[in-house]
Amino acid sequence: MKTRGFTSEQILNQLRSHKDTLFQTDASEYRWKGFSDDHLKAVQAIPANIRRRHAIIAASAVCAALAVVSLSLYVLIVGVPAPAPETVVPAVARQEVLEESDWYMESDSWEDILDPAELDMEDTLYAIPQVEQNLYIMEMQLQWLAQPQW
Amino acid sequence: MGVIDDTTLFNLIRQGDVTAADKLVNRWHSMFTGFIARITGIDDAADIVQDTYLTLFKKFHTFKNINHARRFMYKTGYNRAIDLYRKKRTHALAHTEIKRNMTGSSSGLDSRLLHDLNNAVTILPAKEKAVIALKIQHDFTAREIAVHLGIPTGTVLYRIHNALKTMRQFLSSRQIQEDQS
Repeated sequence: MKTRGFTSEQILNQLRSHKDTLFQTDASEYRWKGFSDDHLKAVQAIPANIRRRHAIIAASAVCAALAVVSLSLYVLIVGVPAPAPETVVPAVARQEVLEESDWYMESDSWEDILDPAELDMEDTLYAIPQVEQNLYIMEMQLQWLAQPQW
Repeated sequence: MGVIDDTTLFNLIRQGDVTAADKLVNRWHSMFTGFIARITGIDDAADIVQDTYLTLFKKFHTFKNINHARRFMYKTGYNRAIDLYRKKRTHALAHTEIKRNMTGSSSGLDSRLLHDLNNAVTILPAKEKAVIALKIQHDFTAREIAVHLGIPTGTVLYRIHNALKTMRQFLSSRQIQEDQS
């Protein structure tokens, strides 16, 4: 041994060579003293538990097969279910904005209101909802300007 | 009549054969009890082992083969031993129990080294002690220990490394003390 003490390998070897003493397995305290009544009942109940388990597995398989058959029949009779429709709320909101923007489309002063030079064409092309929102704001501003005090 | 192999015993137990169950438990008992006793001490180990057997036979209908049953037994016993250890912190108890058992069987060996080795194992944390017990007592590989205790192989290797490091330090300090005295 070059250094003081043991290496890990030496410790493992020492433990292995003394394992019967260190990890006693044949001491009288370790001897099997037999089953209690609960153990005996548990052992005797094993065949019944196995039968019950098999019955549960078989029942589960039958249920799964029935589910597959039912679904197949439904598809055959009713047809493939339609894909889920779009969510309602955004569609309605979009329709409202479009209806409000119609006022500008029908207005004679449309060209006067919007100066094409000031429009950012990229935004207009790729952000239509933003344009619609701006139109709505302009409508509100016009309504405010149209009030009698002006 | 030859020795009945574990698989035959397993099949007989599935038919509710009490004698086969008794033979199988008798075959496993001392190793399993020794493993649990290293964590908790022999008195608590006896109770844990009895409870584990009861759970084993209540769940026996779910096992695919004998190895599955044995892994279940070790994992259940280990978990119960660790739970009990946490509750009672039986460090001192395990120490005294093992020491008492050793005195009768250490004749002819280097008793001082044996005593130091025993103390080195005893001071280990319960989880490291369990891993070392399976490695030394059962000659399990890290993978087999991982399967039996239901922990990752990396954790097993880490615990073995830590345990050996602790034991190395303990034995070195003991050697220094002896040199000084």
